Amino acid sequence: MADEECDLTSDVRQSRLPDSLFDELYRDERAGLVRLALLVTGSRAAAEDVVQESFLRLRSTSAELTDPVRYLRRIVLNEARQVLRRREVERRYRTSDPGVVLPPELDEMWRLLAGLPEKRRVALVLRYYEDLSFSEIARLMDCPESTARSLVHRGLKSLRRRLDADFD
Amino acid sequence: MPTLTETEDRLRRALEAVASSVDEPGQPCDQAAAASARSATQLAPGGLSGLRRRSPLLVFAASFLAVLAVGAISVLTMQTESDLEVGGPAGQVPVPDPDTSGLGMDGTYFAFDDPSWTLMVAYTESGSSTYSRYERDDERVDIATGSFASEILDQRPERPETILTLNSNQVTERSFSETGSSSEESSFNWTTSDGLPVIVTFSQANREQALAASTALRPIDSEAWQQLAATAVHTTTPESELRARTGEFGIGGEEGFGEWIRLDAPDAPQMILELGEGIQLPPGHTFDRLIENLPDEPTSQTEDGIMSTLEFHAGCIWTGYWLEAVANKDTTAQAQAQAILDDIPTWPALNASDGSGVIDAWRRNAELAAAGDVQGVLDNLYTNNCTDVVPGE
Repeated sequence: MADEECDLTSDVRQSRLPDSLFDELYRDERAGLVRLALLVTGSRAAAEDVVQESFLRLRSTSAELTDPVRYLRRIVLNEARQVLRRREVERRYRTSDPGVVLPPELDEMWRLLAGLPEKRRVALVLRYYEDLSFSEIARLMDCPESTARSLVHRGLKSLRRRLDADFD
Repeated sequence: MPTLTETEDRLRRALEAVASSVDEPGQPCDQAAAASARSATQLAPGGLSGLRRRSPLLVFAASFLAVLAVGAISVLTMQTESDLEVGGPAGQVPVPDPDTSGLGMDGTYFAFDDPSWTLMVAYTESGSSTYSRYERDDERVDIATGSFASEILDQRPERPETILTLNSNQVTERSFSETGSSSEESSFNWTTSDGLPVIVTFSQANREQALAASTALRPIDSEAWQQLAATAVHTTTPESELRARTGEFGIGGEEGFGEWIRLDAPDAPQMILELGEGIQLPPGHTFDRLIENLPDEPTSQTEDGIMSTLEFHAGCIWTGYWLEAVANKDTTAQAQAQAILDDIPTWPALNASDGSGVIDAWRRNAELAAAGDVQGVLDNLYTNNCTDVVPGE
């Protein structure tokens, strides 16, 4: 029964990914990917949609994947970034409520993070939540390493400045 | 102001706290998610295509990426739910009741109420400042409100003579009054009822046309503006059309004021050299090395940021000049350099961007030079990441 419950896309069978590996990826990676998408989009509902769509895309790809986890993470990031770019969807899904009660100082940080430009926000999440190197961030975001460094640096400086402004 | 380390720590904790709200899998299979996915596929008997009908966002995303992939330099008109609600760019956004909308209190939000104009770019900062760009054929209208408008006024003192002044109630009157003229563009400085400025700039100099067009600008509330912003058209810019001036402005603080400049644009070097014309350099020295090292990848910096970089680079060059003078026992050059080193801590752009001890470092540099401490000056240069001017490096 449990196996049947995990059979998500029985009507989509183009993937070269073995079913067992797909199920394993779903079991092991899904929660982490939802967290990542949540931190980028700011919305649990949007994050769930993004990850579901990403798994379906993984399932339907006909490409031979040497690193399906990285591929999956990249799809999630791309989809999540599209969510951020579309303000209408943002308005519908994204709220300043992270879904948990945060201490005031963390709530303030979360709110400030949500106000950052999309690329800076993504770069900061990858750096300070995923603990990725700048080269890995650059690969995931399709940009030069120097740009990844700049995005993280500028994002952090913006947060710092806005924290100070809020304090004042 | 918190330190960078404190900011990093707080950011990590906030991210961890929010992420922890997502359940751990804990089971061989995430039942709830599986059920959700099954439900999606049931809604979509055609597999992925059916699922995508459920998600206009993802349809748009796929379309957008597809267009980018084939290198099309084109405008995308997005058919999304927002279009259905708003009725397309710049058109049928509901007009709020001016007495209850909170305009002015809620920020300054405007729509250009003329369907012949297309909203190309729209963004907001901290809810009280907006920037919108509309285009029609080869015409362009930029609308800057709140702090964006303040910065244009504050940082561009050469512009007031080109700006028309409008003092009116933002909701009910449209009594524009002209105070200047321009051969290149027409601008309106519009002060809202609670004192927030609005700048509207038209790309063409025909005042009558600009004035007539400006009457199509009307205030809307923030939610309507957000709906409208969601319809902004995305464009791509081929490298051959890339220009240093972006038409977008910094928001102050460490980011700086002034227009964002694309450092990778073909005309960026000339523009940067023009910005640096007022900065004194030692005889025979130029900003060539700075220009040579401009990034190739898409990178932007505000005009204030560029000025700060130029002043910093000039400080490095003068310090190198001082070291050379000492090595050559050229007391005249050493004295000339010392006078400049003493002055550097007062340079405006460096002071404006100082947030991490930059001015203190330059002050220390001048003191070390005045004391004849060559090794100290050298050490300070390394500390300041200024080593490209150190002789022999």
